Amino acid sequence: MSNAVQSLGNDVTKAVNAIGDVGQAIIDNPLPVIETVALTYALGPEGAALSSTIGAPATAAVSAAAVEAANGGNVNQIATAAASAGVGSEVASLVAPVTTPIEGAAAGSTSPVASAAGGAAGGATRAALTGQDIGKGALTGGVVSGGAALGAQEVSALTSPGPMSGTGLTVPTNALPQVSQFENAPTSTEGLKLPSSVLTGETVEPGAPQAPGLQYTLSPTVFTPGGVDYGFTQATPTDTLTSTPQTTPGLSPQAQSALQSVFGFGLGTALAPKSTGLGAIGASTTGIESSGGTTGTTSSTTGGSPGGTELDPSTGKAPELAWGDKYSSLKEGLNV
Amino acid sequence: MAKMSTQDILAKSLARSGQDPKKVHGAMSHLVQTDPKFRVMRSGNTLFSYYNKGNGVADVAMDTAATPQELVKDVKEFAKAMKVAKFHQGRFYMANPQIERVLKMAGLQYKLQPMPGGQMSVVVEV
Repeated sequence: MSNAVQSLGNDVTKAVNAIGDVGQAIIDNPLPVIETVALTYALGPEGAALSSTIGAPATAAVSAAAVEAANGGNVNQIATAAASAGVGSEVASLVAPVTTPIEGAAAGSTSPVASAAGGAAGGATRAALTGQDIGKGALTGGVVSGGAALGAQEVSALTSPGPMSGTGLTVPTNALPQVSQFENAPTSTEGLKLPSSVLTGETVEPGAPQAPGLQYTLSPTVFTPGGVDYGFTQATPTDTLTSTPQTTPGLSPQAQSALQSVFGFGLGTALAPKSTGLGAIGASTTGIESSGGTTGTTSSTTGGSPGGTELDPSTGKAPELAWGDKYSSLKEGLNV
Repeated sequence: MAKMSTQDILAKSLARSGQDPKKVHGAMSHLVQTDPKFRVMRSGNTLFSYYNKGNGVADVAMDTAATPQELVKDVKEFAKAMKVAKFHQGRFYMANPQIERVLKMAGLQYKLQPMPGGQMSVVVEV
């Protein structure tokens, strides 16, 4: 806040320049000021204290006069109101300027109005009247802490809450986005869904904003088919497993049934390899009955257990081991 | 701080400006007595000069000899007094950005607007 000359420049400057012509008497005139306490006495504890002393009507009268003066009325009327309300001079001096003649004032000049509150800082008379220092807080501005005129130049020394680095202006709080401005942001995920047009290759037109707050506007984008297939159609398997049973070329089910009726016992027994001999050459142990005619009588030269104990039917002796203990397989025996 | 005379307040406030505090004091006194729209309100050791612009709006200036802590209280008291006096808005130019801190500590609602020359236009709602 600039001072009176800087801020209210024109009028004050003109007045300052004019003062030189008016004379020393004007310069020495007390400055008629309105004590803020005259207006605020009706508020707060000071007002209550004053009302208890001089009465609510007197307080109201002084306050009304101060309001009038603040809006262009004569500042003298504050003192007049105080006097009319029967306020003692001691109390009146706290809130109202008093008229005192000024030495050297030009004859016939307006009676100067002085702020007499300045002389009442001691508060002795107030204390005597009220039993307490009713205006101390408002009048003296708090605890005295030195006499230097610090003013606004040293406001940075204030131990105030909140950071204020440097000398630049801080950002006013009203310039920051308020939380309420974000409250209307969409909370659903509707706007983030993949549009169906992406799958179909259609041109996506930008949609109108749906709600204030955060908006995600998509620029027009053409998605051409091809490349990666994002389709959700069910893929057809190329390899199909069929459950059609494979028939044995040898014996049909009918033939098997016929044979079973002839022999009267299980084909597994009739067609089974004999327990002697075949084991030596590795006859298959898979019987017809167990597989339903899958392999039947196929035999293999592999397999079998070398060195079996079964006798050879042709010789009646134990079969000679083809490779015996030496080799464990034909391949190995043939050195293939 | 002991209560100072209005002349002493101006002397302290204008010490760095090079202006004659006596002349300013006389000018302000003259204006108060001749211009009903010009008034000086005092809170503590701070003088608030203002022009009544009508409709509850005032252009405000400040001269102070108060300590920073006292200034906060003075500004707060002045704002309260202006509200009682049926003013609702005070306007001024702010050359010292630290004043904003005072306004903030005084709990006042204000708006800032940058002005040419590095000053800020301040509108305070009371």
